[in-house]
Order: sequence, then C-alpha cells, then structure tokens
Amino acid sequence: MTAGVIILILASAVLLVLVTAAVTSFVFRRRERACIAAMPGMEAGGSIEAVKALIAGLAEQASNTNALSTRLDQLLAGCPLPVLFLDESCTITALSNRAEEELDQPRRRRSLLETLGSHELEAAASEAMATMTPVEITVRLYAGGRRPYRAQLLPFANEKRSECLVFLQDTAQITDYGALRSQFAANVSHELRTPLAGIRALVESLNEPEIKPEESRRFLERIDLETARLGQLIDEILFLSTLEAGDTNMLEGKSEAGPVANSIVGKLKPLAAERDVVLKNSIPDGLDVLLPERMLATVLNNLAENALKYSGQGSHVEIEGSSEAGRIKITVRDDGIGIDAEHLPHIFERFYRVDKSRSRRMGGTGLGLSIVKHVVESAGGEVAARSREGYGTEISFMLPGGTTSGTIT
Amino acid sequence: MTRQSFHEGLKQLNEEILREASLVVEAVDLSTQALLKSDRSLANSVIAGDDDINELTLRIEGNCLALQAQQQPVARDLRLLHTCLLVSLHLERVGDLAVNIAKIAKRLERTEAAEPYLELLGKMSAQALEVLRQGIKAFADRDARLANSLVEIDEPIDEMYKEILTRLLHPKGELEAVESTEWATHIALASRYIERIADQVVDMGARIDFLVTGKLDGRYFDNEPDKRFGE
Repeated sequence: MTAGVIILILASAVLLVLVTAAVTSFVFRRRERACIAAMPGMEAGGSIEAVKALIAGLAEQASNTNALSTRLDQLLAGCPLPVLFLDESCTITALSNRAEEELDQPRRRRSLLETLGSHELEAAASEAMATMTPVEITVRLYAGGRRPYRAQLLPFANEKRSECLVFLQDTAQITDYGALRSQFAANVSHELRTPLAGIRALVESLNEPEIKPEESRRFLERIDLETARLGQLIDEILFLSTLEAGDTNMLEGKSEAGPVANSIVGKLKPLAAERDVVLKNSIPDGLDVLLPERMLATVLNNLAENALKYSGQGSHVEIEGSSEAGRIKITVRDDGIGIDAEHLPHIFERFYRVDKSRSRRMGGTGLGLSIVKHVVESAGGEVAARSREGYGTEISFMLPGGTTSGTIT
Repeated sequence: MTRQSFHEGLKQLNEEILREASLVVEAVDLSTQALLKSDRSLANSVIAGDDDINELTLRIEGNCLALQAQQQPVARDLRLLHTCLLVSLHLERVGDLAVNIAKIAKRLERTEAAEPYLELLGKMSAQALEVLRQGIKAFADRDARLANSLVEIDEPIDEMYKEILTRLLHPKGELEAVESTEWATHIALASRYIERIADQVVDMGARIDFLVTGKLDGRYFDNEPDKRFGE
C-alpha cells in the first residue's frame, strides 16, 4: 500500500512539472498574441516581425495607390508597436497610434529633434537614408521617464525622395518575451527539482526492508510536507502569471487595513511563538485601502511571515499604518538580523534568496516578496525596502486609499 | 546673405540647440544612472561626451554672432538669436554639472547607510530630467506658459534637496546614521548639482519667456537665489 501511495505522489509531482511548464509558456505568449490579434488583417499566431514586414512592404508601395495607403493607415492604427515615418529631413510624416500613446507627444510635421529630442535617432535615420541600408540602434526615449528602446530604421525610396520607417520597441518588453521566459523556466524547474529529489530519497529509504514503523511514519510526514510545498509553489506561480497577464478583476474592491492585519497576526501567532518572536499590529482603525481583503491579506501575510522567519529569535515584528495625502502607507518592521546591502535591491525578484540553504529550510518558495510587489504595483501602489545588517528591516508599501471619514482616491 | 538664407540659418540654429539639448539630457540621465548603479564606465562616457557639448556650444555661439553681424536682426529675430545664445550656455552649464555628478559616481563608496540617500537622489534626478524635458519642449514650441511653469516643476527638487541635507545632519535613527563624512559629502554635493541643473533650466525658461513675450522679468536676474525661487 505504501508503494502505491509513493507512486501516486511521484506521478502527481511529474504532472505538476509538465503543467507548470505549459502554463508558463502560455502566459508569456498570450500578451504577444493578443497584440497581433488586435490588428486588422492579421491572423492569430503571427509575430511582431511579420507585422513589421507587412508595414514595410505596404509603405514602399503606398504612394502609388490610395487603397494601399488606406490599408497602411489601418495597419498603423492597430500596430502594437510605436512606428514613425520620416521624410528626408527627419520630419515625422505619419505615425502609429501606439507611438502617440506611448512616446512623448510625437507629432506629424515636426522633426525628430523637436518632438522626441533624440539626436542619436536623428543621426541613425540620416545615415539609413544616405546609405539606403537598414540601421539598428538602442536609444533612450521619454515614455513616462527615460527608457531604452530598440530602434530599427528601414530606408526606402519613393520616386526621387528618400523616406525612413522607424520601428521602436521597449527593450524591457523584449526581455519579457525572450530572456526572462527562459530564466523563469530554468528557475521553476530548479525549484521543482529540489523537493522532488527530497521525495525520491525518502521513497528509497521507505523501500528498505528493515525500516522501522516510526521511521516510515516520519518519512511519510516529510513527503507530505514536501508535496504541500510543491503545491504552494505551483499556486504562487499561477497567481503571479494571472497578475502578469493583466487580470485586474482580482484587484477590484477595498478593505480596511487594521482588521485584515489583526487576522494575519492571529493566524501567525503559533509560528511567532515557535520562533520566539513578538508579532504586533498597530494599524489604527479606519484606514481603507483600494485592494480587496483577500489580496491585502496575501500581501500582509507574505511580509509578516517573512519577517517572522528571518528576523531571528527574540526579535520584534510590528505592522504599522498611516494615511499620507490620499494614500495609505503600511510598514512591516522588524529589529532582527537585517539584510546585506548587496542583497537588498534584489529581494523582490522571483526566486531570489539571500541565504539559499536557510530559506529552503524555512519552507519558503522564493516568490513571497515578488507577489507582494506585483499585487501592490498592479493596484497602482509602490513598495520599498530598507535594511541594515544587525539592526533590522522595514518593508513598506503605499496604496491608494484614505481614512473611513475621508475620500478614497 | 539673403533673407531666405537668414531664415535657413535660424532654422539650423534651432536644430543645433535641440541637438545640444538632446546631448545634455543624455549626459544628465547617464551621470545619475552611473551614480545610482556605481557604474564607472558609464561615468567615464559622460565625462568624455562633454567635449561634444562644448564643441556644439562654441559652434552655436559662432553662428549666433555671424547671423547678428551679417543680418542685424531686430524684434523677434533678434530675441531669438539672443535666446539661442543664452539657452545654449545654460545647457552647456547643465552638461558640466552632469560631469560633476559623473565624477562623484566614480569616487562614491557605497555603504548601507548611503542607500536611502541614493534612493532620494534617484527621485531628484528623475524630476530634474522632467524639468529639463519640459524646458526643451518650451523652447521647441515657443511656449511661454510652459516656460514659466518650470519653477513649479522645480519645487519638489528643492524640497528633496533640503530633505537630504537635513537628514545628513540629523539622521533618522540607526538606519541612516552617517558613518563617515566622505560619502556624506559626496551625497550632499551630488544633490546640490542636481538641484543646480534644475535651476539652470528654470533660468532657461525665463529666456524663453523673453523670446515669446519680449518682456524681461527682473526676478531672474536677482543675485540672491532665495529671492528668486523662494528657497
């Protein structure tokens, strides 16, 4: 009977790995496919490169017929990328809707320098048109702050005039679809392999003929713990994926911070007692945040549990809250061992661990703080962390909200 | 020189100013990034790039003088040449301040206690870039209202500058305790340079206002910064 249970557990674990890989791939592709599908005349499953080729092909012929010109306008209206058309003097003659939305007010009949203020893009366009060869560069442009963009410049000649087509792509998005996906897949498989290896070792021990009943019970308990951790990991990956896919329904609603924090403190009391840590909530009554109760509980639970696990024996953890100009600031502070400055900027990254062996021993998945950051930022807030080794750590987040008597913004 | 070539010259001058502005924005952006990321190679590229800004400034000055001497413009054309010359000098000065920040980026030794200050410097530089962006836009669009609103966009920078100095002198508890005067001096200087960048752009706004309205506002020529910007 024991062998049957073990085979069942192993089969479930393998199935979980396969499901996770499929979900990861699906979510990363979904946004790209949605962009393409939104374009007139494009079939789902096309790629950004195909869109670019289509626009470039039409642009070369558009001056000849009105029909082609209309088709080009339609494509520009639905194009998921910022696209600019330039004449010989680097003046913008046409642009995609996305360029108008994303960039800093590019306007027709104004030069690149006047609107986007990039001498590098202007120089690259001039070079492309002078040599009639495509140019590719990375430039920093204003798009809600200065951000790096990959610019592909394709020159073409219409009768006697030279023109240039500029495709721009936020490099952060390129990272999303490429390197990030493979890095994430590698991390996921590594995180899944560790508990699986543990389960396999325990199964081998259980198969020993001379194993004692109390030992086999202990091993089965550990298998139970490891599978629970696997389940938690899968749940958290799926939760993050849903947030990243832009599902904002789960973020709609409001809740009062004090009572939610009280329930988290109550839930974590046994863990606090086990670790000999004093956990306290001092959020005053009447602070409402624009986040549903379940989401706020997830954020507070992750922060408080983290503080309990890593602050060290005899330390104090406190949850505080205040209202600041239409926003609510909540801080989880501890006076524990602190985090090294080298690690601090990375603690919100997925699977980043300050002390790898210790955090696995504590049962963490490596996704807790990443979930906090995603939930808070998706709800229009921001997170910040401060720490000093030997003195303590404080992680705070600001969310839209207000006091019960005031207005929620 | 014909009237047509005069206007061609003015157009070219306008483009040169915008090109200089683009180089200066990049210098400010990269110098503060170098500071926040402790990236020495980025800092070196800012320092090396200042020669291009200086060269362009000299060319703009030469072109302004040549156009004034050859065409003896009056009214708006005269104001445009005058403004181009002064805006170019303000931008050049901003480029120099970016070099100063880049030099600090090479010297600053990061400590844990410096981190909160660097975070604040990051916010200051983002706001300074915003002032710069709006200042350049005001020049490109000849927008006097935007030029005059630069003082307001500059206000948060002055506040953050004061906050940094106050916190350096009176740290909030153990987390921010100043361990050595060296990094504290670098932080104070860097914040001062960022604050000066924004002030240069606000002054540039006064020149743009003069270009559009033809009125000189005496406030901007006051020697005491306290009176000018209510510091």
